[in-house]
Amino acid sequence: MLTIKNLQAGIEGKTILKGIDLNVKPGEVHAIMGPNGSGKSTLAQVLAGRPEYEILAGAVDFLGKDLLEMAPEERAREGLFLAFQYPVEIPGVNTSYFLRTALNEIRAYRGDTKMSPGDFLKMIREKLKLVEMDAAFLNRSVNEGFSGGEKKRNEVLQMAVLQPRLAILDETDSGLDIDALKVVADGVNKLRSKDNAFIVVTHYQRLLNYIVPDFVHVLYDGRIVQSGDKSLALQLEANGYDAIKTAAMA
Amino acid sequence: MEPSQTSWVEERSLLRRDPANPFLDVQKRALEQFQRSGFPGARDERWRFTDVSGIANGNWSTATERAATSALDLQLPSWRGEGLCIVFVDGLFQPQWSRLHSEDGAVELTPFSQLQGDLIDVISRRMKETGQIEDQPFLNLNTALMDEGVVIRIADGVQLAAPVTMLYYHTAGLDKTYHPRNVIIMGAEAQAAVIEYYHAASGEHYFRNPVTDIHVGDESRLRHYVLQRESDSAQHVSFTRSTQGRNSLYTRFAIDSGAALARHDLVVELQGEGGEAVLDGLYMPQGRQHVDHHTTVRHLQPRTFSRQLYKGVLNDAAHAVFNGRIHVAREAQKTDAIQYNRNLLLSDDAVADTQPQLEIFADDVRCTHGGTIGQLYEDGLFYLRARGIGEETARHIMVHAFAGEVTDRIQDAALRDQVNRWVLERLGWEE
Ligand SMILES: Nc1ncnc2c1ncn2[C@@H]1O[C@H](COP(=O)(O)OP(=O)(O)OP(=O)(O)O)[C@@H](O)[C@H]1O
Ligand SMILES: [Mg+2]
Repeated sequence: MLTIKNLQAGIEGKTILKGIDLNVKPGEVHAIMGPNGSGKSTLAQVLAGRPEYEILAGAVDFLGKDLLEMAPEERAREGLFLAFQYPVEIPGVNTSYFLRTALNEIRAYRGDTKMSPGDFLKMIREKLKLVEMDAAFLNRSVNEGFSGGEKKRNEVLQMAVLQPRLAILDETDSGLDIDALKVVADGVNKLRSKDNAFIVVTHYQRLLNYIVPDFVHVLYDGRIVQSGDKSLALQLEANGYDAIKTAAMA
Repeated sequence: MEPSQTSWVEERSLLRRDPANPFLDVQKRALEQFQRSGFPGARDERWRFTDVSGIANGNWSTATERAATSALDLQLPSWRGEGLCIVFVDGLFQPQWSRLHSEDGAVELTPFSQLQGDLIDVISRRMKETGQIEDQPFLNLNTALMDEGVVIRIADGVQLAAPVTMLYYHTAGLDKTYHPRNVIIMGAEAQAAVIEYYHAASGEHYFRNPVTDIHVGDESRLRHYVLQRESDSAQHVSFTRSTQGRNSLYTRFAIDSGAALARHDLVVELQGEGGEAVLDGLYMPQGRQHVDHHTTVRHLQPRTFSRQLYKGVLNDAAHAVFNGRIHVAREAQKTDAIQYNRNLLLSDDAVADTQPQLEIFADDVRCTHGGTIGQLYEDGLFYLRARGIGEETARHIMVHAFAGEVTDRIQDAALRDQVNRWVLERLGWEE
């Protein structure tokens, strides 16, 4: 589904990703861990197409297409979704209008008809229940004044509405209380299927108790320095990144 | 000052030396003041971003007769509503399209050409007082060359539902100049809305130099809209003064979407305790358009409040200037003054200059000011696109939301809808 080969990218003349290789197949969940500043969000943003980043080398294939050639909106329409580490506040843009516009643009791209306001409302009410959000959020500006946890739930809500093939969750668990964490994990697990895949960026093994990964990767200084199964996360939780940092410096 | 620069002004002022002119003295004084200063140049601090040499050296037509209005298919704008209105076409008052009196006589519109009796004294006194404001060459120019205008008197306690509208149209004729004078005098405990609309039916070159002089009485509320939709080749230089009584509220919304050069000087004097001024502006220059707002808010009494929010959407090689001067007098304790100027630059060639100027002599005062926007816009744009929304639509949504912060506050619904349509039209997104 997603094949990343030797991806190198940077910003403002600084190289951040120094050669990433990763292969994600349908139905899989990959967890990416790693110390602060190692490049996890950069990888996520580069995959989503943030224009500020410069691609220096490498290739990314997504569902048989050259991902790096596509505009951000095309990537989303092809089924890529990024849950932002820091969701953006957009004053003056109504959440419901935003979601409906996004959904209808994606539907139009896939050749589906627009969803009527009535059907949209019915659908969105179901999804709100899934993430335990109040319908009042729909009438507020996108993320404006939302608490940290509410912003994260809103990311999961958008994912549930847009039904991506590949979702990248960038620290969606950070800043969540235990109940919210379960809500987010439930949201993800409801979407899991043999056709969909997830890349979950997290600092905490805790989330991986709820969203059980098939693979765990450690990103350090712009490279994946170690990969393993879910036991790697437990090991990191117990021992920290010291061993990895030392090995990388040697 | 180059003598040649003011020669057309002197020549023009002679045409107004009619002994029957009740404002002759005021006008002579204004001309003298203007002659002393001349047109401002690049060395004048308050004009260093705005070049008015095109006005100073203009080859302005001296023709006094105006276009035949019968040829004009003038459509009164639908947002005007049912309120009183006064219409000027090519500088001439148009009684057939104007509605000057409310049935109960509580509100009265009088064209300058029809002023009589005590109203003349009231206006003369006001003109003399306003004429003492320093460093306002275009105020003096207007007074010296005043051609038409209107006096709007709103009696004590009047609650006007529909806005009063002043419509100034340019329809024909090259290189004309207009110097209209508007005076709004509100009594105590009154409520009203007044719209000033400047528009052209053609893309010709002309110079409009309006002055609007307002008094909002004690406990009164005025909503004031200034809609500048001149021809894209026009030059528009305005001066507005608002004096406010105790616990009064002056709410202003100004939009600029026309004129090659637009410059607005606004002086608000909070003369009564508890007075409030809420000043909003939206400008959307494109091409090589230049728009400049210079505001001065004078907090003269305790517990006065002012809030300014000027927003710009700049395209192409447009240039916008905002200079906000906040003056807090020693006795104006417990004053709150907020000033924001936010510009969205849609092109690398667009330039916005912002200069806040705080002059605070009281010590129990809160003053803040804000800056520009850019990263917020880019972040929002990417967020929308990452959800599958196309780039054009995403820009549309972001800019509309940015402008919406000021346009959504327009209380008069028909006007608000119209302004929103103009915003879309201006951005090329007519629907
Ligand atoms: N615009 C930028 N200019 C310069 N450096 C940047 C910029 N954006 C990111 N970086 C740098 O790139 C590096 C990687 O950042 P990134 O956000 O990808 O880390 P991360 O692994 O997601 O960290 P965290 O766990 O703290 O979220 C950091 O050193 C960061 O400071
Ligand atoms: Mg990060």
